[in-house]
Amino acid sequence: MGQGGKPGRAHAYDGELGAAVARAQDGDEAAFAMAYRIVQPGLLGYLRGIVGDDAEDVASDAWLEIARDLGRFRGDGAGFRGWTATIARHRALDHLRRLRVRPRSAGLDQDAVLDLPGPHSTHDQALESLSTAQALELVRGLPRDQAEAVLLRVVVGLDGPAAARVLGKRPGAVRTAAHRGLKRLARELGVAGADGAGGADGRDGEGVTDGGPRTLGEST
Amino acid sequence: MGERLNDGAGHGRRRAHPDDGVPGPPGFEARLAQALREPGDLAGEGSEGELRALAAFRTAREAGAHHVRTRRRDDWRPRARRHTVRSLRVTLCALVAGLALGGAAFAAIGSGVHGDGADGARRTEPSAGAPADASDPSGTSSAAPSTTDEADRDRPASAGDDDAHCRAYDKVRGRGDAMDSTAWRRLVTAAGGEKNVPAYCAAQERRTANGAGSGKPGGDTADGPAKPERSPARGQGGGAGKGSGGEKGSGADSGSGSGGAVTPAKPPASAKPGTSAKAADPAKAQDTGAGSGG
Repeated sequence: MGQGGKPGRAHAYDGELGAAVARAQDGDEAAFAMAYRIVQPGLLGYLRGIVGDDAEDVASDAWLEIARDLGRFRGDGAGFRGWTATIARHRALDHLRRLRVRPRSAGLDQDAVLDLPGPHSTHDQALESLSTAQALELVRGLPRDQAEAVLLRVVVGLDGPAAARVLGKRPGAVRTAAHRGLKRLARELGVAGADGAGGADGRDGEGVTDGGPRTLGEST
Repeated sequence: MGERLNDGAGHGRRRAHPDDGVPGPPGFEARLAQALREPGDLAGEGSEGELRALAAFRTAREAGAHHVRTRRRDDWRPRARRHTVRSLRVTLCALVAGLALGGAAFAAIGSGVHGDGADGARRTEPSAGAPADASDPSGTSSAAPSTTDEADRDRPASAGDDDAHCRAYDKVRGRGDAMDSTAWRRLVTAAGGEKNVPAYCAAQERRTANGAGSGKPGGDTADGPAKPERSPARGQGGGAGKGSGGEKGSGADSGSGSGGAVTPAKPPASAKPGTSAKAADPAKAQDTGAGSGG
């Protein structure tokens, strides 16, 4: 079992994380390293959904700011997730702004043809074979607000109010966006009808070719 | 294995958010999350990013940046707790502000009492003069307070006016327009001609200085004799002024501090009429001006 591989784990780590943050605020370097290891995977997953391959650089910048402002933070483990996600998001938006001013050559990975699982496979097969690149591509195909809501909830492990605070929106709007995004992802993976939650609209194979914006940076 | 993983995670999510139905199969979110976190992300010890973050942490710690104020956006405590803290802070602020304002108000009341005290002292002065008048054998007791009152009220106003005009005179002289104004014309008339104005002003200045120094004792002690003389003093100011100008002009100057009781009592009396008895004043001004000049 990989550590921190799923949102349930993210919640499970919150007590530990809160204690580590508290000790780090008192100057304990090892505790800060522990907090880093707990938070970084989710943060990186979130950033990868926004800025793609630059996620590592952006996360690095974000951690510099986190380390600098750690003394200002107040809250528990879950709060620390939200706080760090806010900082990372600001860094990511700065990064996208810079890119827009000075565009570089198109990213390579995004142009690669992805072998998405077909709509005929069972949902177990589809999920089992879902690679990181595929999942990322799917999420980045969502409208920006849905993609961010899904990432904050699923990858970072934030609850509704915290995700809303990170995004600066009302909790209701964020919950709706996350719901729609997940539904669409499920449809694109062809697993929507498995438990009926996707309802009547998800079945008829419109999934993969759904024309959404391909990159988040352009979807605002 | 995937099944077990999915079930557990899905259950957790459901329990955390019972109200929003999760689209897709139970383990969908968990599987998605797992896919979105690369295995490489499980940050091993000593990864480059971690080392950089730790270096930044040390730098900040040594710079003392870890003891700074919390901004609103850094406060991620659960809502309820934040509220109690804030309401506590608000209560404290209100209390302090209330105390401060109340103290200021109280202090203001205190200072008001002070001002009243000063006023009272000033007000008791004429009433202290009144018994003195009443003890006068002469029948002018009723007229006396009225004249002193009038004098008291008059003196600061007219004397102040003249003083101000005198002070401004030097600056304005030579510039034609200002000299045409009523106030200036009045000053010039009072001085008895434009070239007499400096002398008049000098006298005026001296008189106000004396008046401030010894006006009151003079007034009190001279009540009896001065009063009857006062009204005539206006009428025959020219004569009286001339008569005393030679010998006592200087006496009035030097005797201000000491007990020159009767003589200083006169100058204030004739200084007041500045506005009303202009005819008498110029003569007096000339006299004292000459006295001091010679």
